[in-house]
Amino acid sequence: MLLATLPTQAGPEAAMRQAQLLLVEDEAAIAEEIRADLDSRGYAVTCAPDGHTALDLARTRRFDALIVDRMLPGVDGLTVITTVREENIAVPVLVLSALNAVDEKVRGLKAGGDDYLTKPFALDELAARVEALLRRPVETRETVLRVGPLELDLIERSANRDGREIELLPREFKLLEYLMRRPNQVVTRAMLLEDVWHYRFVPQTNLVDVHIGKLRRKVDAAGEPPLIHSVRGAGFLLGEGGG
Amino acid sequence: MLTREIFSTGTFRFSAIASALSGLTTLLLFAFIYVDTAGFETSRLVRLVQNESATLAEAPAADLPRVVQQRYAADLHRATFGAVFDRDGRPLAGDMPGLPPDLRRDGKPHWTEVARRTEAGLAREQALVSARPLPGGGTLLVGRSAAELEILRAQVLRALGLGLIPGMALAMLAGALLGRRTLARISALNASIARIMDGHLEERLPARATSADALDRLAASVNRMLDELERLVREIGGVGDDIAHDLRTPLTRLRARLEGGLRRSPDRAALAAVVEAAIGDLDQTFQTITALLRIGEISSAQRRAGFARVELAPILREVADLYQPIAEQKEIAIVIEAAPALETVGDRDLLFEAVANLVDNAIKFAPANSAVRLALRRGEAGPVLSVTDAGPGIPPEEREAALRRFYQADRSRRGQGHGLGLSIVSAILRLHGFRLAMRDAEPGFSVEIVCAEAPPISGTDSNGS
Repeated sequence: MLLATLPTQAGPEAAMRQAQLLLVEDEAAIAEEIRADLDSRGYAVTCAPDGHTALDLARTRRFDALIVDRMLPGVDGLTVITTVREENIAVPVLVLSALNAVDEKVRGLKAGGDDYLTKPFALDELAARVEALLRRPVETRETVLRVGPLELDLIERSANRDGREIELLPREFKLLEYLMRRPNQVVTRAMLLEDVWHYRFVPQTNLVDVHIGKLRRKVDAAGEPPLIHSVRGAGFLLGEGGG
Repeated sequence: MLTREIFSTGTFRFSAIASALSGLTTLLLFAFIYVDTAGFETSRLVRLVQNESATLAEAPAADLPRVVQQRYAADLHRATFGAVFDRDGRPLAGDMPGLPPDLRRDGKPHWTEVARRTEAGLAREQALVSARPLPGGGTLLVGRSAAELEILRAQVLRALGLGLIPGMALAMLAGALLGRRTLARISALNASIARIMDGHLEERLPARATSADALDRLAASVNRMLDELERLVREIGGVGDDIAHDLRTPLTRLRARLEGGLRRSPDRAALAAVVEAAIGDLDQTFQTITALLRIGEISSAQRRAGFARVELAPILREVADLYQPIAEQKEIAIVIEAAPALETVGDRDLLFEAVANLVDNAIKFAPANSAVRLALRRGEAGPVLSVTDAGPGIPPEEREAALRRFYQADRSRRGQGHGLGLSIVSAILRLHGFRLAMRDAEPGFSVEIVCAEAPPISGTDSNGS
């Protein structure tokens, strides 16, 4: 708790202190719901109702992530992001928008956003995206990823659990690698579709669940403590001890 | 009552302008004739006066007054006249009381005003007069009245009046009659248009098929446009109803659920279950809205800017890979039969989405323990992608409706999905200009995407390497 007052530093302290978020959203009801939800998840949320306030805050205080609505009165959301980037304020940005079009999404990311979420969204989805922004995936130099008893060899393209060889199809390998780079972190169906399959649309069927189901049967054999968990309403999580 | 409108018709204005132009032409013609004739007549009079003067001048000076008196006394018309004056300007012969004041005595004819004695007294008139000095200081005067020229002018003007004015009036009348006829046809067109605007979309403009003029041809094109508009309006109307219906169903369910939960839920846990179900209903509604927006997004033509060459076989393989697990769950085999090296031009992501939607449907409707076939072959017009399943398919009479938004072959089977899959496919293919075909595969049902052939790779690519 003491560390929370110290300036942000890279390293283990960052995970311990309360993450500071700036939420830029002009619609009060939505802003309040998001704030309350993130607050209950342990984040400290500052709200800004318009672009000017947001820019003033971003310049004077340090935030761990910005959540910016695309359409704002006065200074537009995209302008806020480009300004933040031009002034070299290094902070991950999540763009919120009611605009669904792929082009809009591309514009949001080009302006300097790190992720894009279309309204309406589930609060679980938002929380998962924020967590993903705060915890950048593990980019290890090592060629073997390890989570508990699970090992993934990126060169050999092989996997084993406590020495038990796991046969994986290429797409299952990709999926497991994505999960293992984000241990103990909730990943949503939409994140998997976008990042693993590079999908630009939402399929009608629960494809992701079926793919995860198949992977889970291979990773978690009968009698072994489960590593792949379903998180109700949100998505999935890989890790020891459950989410 | 119609007169005012007649004058404002194009036909009438046209005929008014035409008659004014022809009147002007006639006027110019008459003016030319008059000037030419008058010129000819004038030069004849000039010669006449000169000859007369020269002839008389040959007579001996002492005899001249008598010769002049005799020569012109007999002339009843008094058109040509002569006079002799002494050196003091006193008249010795002729009917003129004195010399015209401004006349030059050079023997040449000049236009001037002269005074002559008549029975009624002194009369003044315009005349062509030559004054020749005589030996001994006297003057011989010969003249010719301009009355003939006056008559000529009057006659020309009369002819002009008689010919021109009735001619122009006739032209205006014809214009008015034609204008009236046009006006009647335009009133008929206006009446039809008013009825169409009132909502009678089936109404058409009157247009003669035989001996059609420009107006008929215009009406016929407007009618063709109305055919297309009527089709579109009816289609949109149907879609609007479908959207309302499809949003209403989950919203009604949601409302009932919330109301019931509020009344009946004994504890927090039960209420939580109700809220969770309500969120599920809302999600379905959002899914439908998202799909609708997606169709709109696909349909915007600017996406064509991103078109490129696309190899088709990998798309089939990737879609199969994506759907493999779910097919396995239903014990359905996915079989790929793809001819190699077939390309088209398009948006790869959208084509992927189209094939994925077809495969999604096929797996949904195929019976367990059957196969879904993804095939790619070279057709007559270009590559043909097909997705065949062993399910019941869509009856022939419903196939066209199936491409509209919200159609599901069996509405009661709606479980997952928004029922917009085929509409999305249809929008994607429309953007590409590709065709969708449905046929009975005996057994089973087959949906085909008929692509356009990619143009051959240009010379720079083929002569390299």
